[in-house]
Amino acid sequence: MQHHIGRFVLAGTAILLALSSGFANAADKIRLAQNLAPISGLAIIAKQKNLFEKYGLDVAVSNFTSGRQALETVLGGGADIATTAEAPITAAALARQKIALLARMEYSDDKTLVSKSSGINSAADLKGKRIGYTVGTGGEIYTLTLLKKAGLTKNDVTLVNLRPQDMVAALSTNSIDAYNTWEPHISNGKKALGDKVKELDTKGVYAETFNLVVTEEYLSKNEKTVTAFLRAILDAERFLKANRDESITIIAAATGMKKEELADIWNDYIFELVLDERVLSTLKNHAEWRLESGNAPAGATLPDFHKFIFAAPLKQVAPERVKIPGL
Amino acid sequence: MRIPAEQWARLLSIPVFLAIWQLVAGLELVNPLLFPPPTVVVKAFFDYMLHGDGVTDAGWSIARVVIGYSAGAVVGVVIGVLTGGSAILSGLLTPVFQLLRPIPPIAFVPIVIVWFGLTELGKWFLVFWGVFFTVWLATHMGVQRVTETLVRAAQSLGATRWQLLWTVQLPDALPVIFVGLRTSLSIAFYTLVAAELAGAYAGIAYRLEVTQQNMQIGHMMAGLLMLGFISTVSDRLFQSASRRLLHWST
Repeated sequence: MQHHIGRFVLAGTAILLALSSGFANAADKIRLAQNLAPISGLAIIAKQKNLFEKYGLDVAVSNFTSGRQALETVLGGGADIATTAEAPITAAALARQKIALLARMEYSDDKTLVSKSSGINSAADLKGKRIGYTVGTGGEIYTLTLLKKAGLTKNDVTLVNLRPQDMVAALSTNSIDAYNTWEPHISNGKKALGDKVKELDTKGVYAETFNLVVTEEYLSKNEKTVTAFLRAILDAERFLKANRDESITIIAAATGMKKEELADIWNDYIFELVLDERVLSTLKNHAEWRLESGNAPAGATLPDFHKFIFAAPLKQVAPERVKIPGL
Repeated sequence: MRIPAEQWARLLSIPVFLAIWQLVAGLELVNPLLFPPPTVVVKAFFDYMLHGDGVTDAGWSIARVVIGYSAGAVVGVVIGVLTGGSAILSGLLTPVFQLLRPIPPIAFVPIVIVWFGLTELGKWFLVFWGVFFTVWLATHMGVQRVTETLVRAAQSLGATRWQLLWTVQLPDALPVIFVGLRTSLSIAFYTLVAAELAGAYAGIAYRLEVTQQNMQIGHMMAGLLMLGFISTVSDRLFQSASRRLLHWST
């Protein structure tokens, strides 16, 4: 009888050990909501090259057509991490949502494409013209900043709200004289309209940032998982910089673009996992615009964005990449 | 005087719906920013109407619906009568219409920009597109499925083709045509979302897009409430008019 009990104890212990080792090896599950576009390049590379698995993560990706949808999914509890631009972040911050910005992954300049027949050769020539832009996005801030730099206001032009994908059609029918947006819609316009259009030199006027965001609650309960996620994204950045061609191939395939088309605009995307002054100043500028233009909830005030940036996970991964003083 | 149970049910329908909504939102099972309670939406609604662009937006949207709907309804009835009454025309047009009918207006936005630019005509066309096929199909089927006995009786009395269509087929098909006209009235409001997506400066659906971009979901739902309200009022008006016009069928 004692012999039998001993066997049961041994078998039970073995099962417990097996189960606990199984739990120890089980990958941490993360639900990533991403805007499926080259701006999510680092997350795409990390997934395609199995870099998340390297750090014990099982990442389930949900793709969206905008960062706003991705962030809304996170706020609604449908995902854990969002890839998103500054516009949805400031909207959420002004609505007093407890979000945590982990790092910037990418930034790229917004651009202006004009029809040659409109006679626009510089930003100052935009006076009196019809300009396509997308209301509520970084494209609107870019438009207003560009006009300001040229000594104009929005009253000097006719602003026409359009989805980026409808801008080429609007320019082709002369319904607008120019449009302001982000890639790949500028390069799409050049391809579709050829020598009838040209790009204005507006480099450095306004760059949209693309960031990783979670809720404060998720971060407080899953800091290790988040840190492992950032390690995988950092590996993806290293891979991307060391393997240009392969990265273009992977991202083009994932986003449904042609490899050559992505290669043409590849240098416009600045991929870097970092927390720097650009993150802070972009958020502040965007939030100020929201408050000035009334695109914010009633009674909202300018938030202190230091409180929305959580540097601890990135500090653990790569402390030199946290470049905002005081964080 | 006792109020019948069904009248109680009707009276309680919306208050109970609002109470459940308030309760669910109050429990904060989902983020209240994304699913605000009715109190927040009603406040946003009054803000939109009294201090915002509610009246202007409603004016633009109603104008787009009236023009697009009227054009779609008239053309839908005329073509439906023709295809319902003529096997050749039906054979010629029905396959094309059946192919085009399922295409949602939103998918047509870039093509409409190419055809019409960013004009009001393009916006009316998108509403027209949503309305036309439903009205055409209802009319086509109504005319085709006319009561055979009535047709034979008219023919035996020597009715010409025109008389047959005007005095027998069309009146007999009218109840079905009106079902199509009523259904497409709601569709006209759906298509506003596509119509006001490109190049609009005002309109309820345009404002939905802007408020959604700004994560002002309370204001967005206020816009939806307004669309629902206008759509319901127009449906009621249509129902009342159709009862008078189709007095023989009710």
